[in-house]
Amino acid sequence: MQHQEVAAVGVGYSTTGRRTGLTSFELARQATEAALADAGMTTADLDGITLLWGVAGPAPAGLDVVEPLGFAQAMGIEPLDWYGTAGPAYIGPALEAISAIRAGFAHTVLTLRIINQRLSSTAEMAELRGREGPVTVPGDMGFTAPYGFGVAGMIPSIAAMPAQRHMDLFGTTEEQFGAHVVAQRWHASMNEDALLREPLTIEDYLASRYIAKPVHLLDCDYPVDSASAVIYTAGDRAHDWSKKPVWVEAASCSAVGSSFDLIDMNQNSPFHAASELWKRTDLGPADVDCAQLYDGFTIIVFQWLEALGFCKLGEAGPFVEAGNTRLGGSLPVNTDGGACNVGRRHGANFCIESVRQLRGECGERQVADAEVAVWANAVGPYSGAVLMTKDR
Amino acid sequence: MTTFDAAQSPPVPEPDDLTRFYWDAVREHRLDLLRCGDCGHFVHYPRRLCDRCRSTNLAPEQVSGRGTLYSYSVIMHVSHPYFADKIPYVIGVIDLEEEPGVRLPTGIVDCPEERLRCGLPMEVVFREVTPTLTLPFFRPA
Repeated sequence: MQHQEVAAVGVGYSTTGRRTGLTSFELARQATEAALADAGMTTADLDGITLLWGVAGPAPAGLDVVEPLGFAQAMGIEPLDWYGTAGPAYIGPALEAISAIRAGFAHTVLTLRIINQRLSSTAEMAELRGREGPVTVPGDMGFTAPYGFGVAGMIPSIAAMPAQRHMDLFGTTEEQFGAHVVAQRWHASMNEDALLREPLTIEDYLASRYIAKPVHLLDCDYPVDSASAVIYTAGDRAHDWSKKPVWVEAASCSAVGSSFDLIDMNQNSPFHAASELWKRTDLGPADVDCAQLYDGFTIIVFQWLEALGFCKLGEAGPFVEAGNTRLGGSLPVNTDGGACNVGRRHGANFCIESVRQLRGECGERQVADAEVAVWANAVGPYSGAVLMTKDR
Repeated sequence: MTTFDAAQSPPVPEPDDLTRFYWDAVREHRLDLLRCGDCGHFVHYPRRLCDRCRSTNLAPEQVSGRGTLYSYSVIMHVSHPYFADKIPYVIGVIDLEEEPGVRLPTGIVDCPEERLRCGLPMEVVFREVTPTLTLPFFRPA
């Protein structure tokens, strides 16, 4: 039976690019106007908002921070199926909106993820000059930063070590990671919203420089200024807008542990989130027509393919290399090109592409007869996934 | 005002009430971790409670410094001026011999790249990185 309590009815992006010079407010305004126009709504139709802005960093030394994930981990409460407002990236606002509408707190909720490059860690190096002593690092990061773990954020812990372990344990190869990168760039070549659209070859991938082995530059999402907006509404209003609703069939989130450095690097929160997701629907992996899987780094796509049950643990490499995830394959993945090519949107693009695929708006990159899509966001200690269906 | 050349030191830990025991021990070339006096679980990173039994009865205990390589990465990108002349360097996570599953992030030294492999037996080695900073690294045992 199809769930029809909550639907996504409007999606939109701001101007997106490298160092746009736009303020976070202006990015958010543009994305909101685009989503309202897409839905055929005015602001009078909205009665809720949830958004995530900015980039988290370490807390100042001596500040006794209590936050849900760290506190739960310290108390031994895990895995978690809910953790309030601390949801990571875009999945946080999305799940808040879905739950608020289901609970009856609101009927039509605007969700936003806003990313401003000026807040990203790449700016930090410039600030190192002129200090009177070495940079000091409080808290848990004191155990990693002195060794040089802090590469472009946390690439070694989030991506490189999980990818290396996947290779050592399961025989995954760089060519298999590259097969995904090449496939989703091909998808991007068919997407006018993508910033990087030149087709790539596997040789291009292998020749791109390493950041932290085995992660190449082309495994990393593309940092941009962006805002992404999605409007969700209650089932009884779902048909009041310009376009057909796309239904939220099931949603889940999960938290396990609190540190990327110390958790199981191949089977973490996506596995728990996925098992919960499939318990909340009559549908299963075989019913999914396309998957939009967070690609902050390539290994994360592999982890979600395995977690969601599209292939077995350790078999994402051969699954991708065989062409299953290309448009026309058994499970097209990241049909918009992924965040590596449409720019970093912390998961929101995967929701938006799911909506567009299930509306049948994707033109050349349209998945034929797409009726069910899954999108997933984040990895490691916290993540979530949403299953969406076409209006019937 | 004297300015500090960031290339002279990596980022340094800022010990607090919870972590000072660890850095004090490291300076004396000892690897101490918090251990629960009630259930025996090692708690790392340092926390106020045992994440297995919620006991507050935690105290530092010296560990062997042996373990296996859980995962690793050869770093090729300079993230801080100190590392500019150090790439490629290797970071990794050690699964502790005393309690596999309890892990320690670290730097890997004295190991040719082709020998790196998940599961490789490792042992601790202490290095004076700067005149005021000692760090525990790991090398093949």
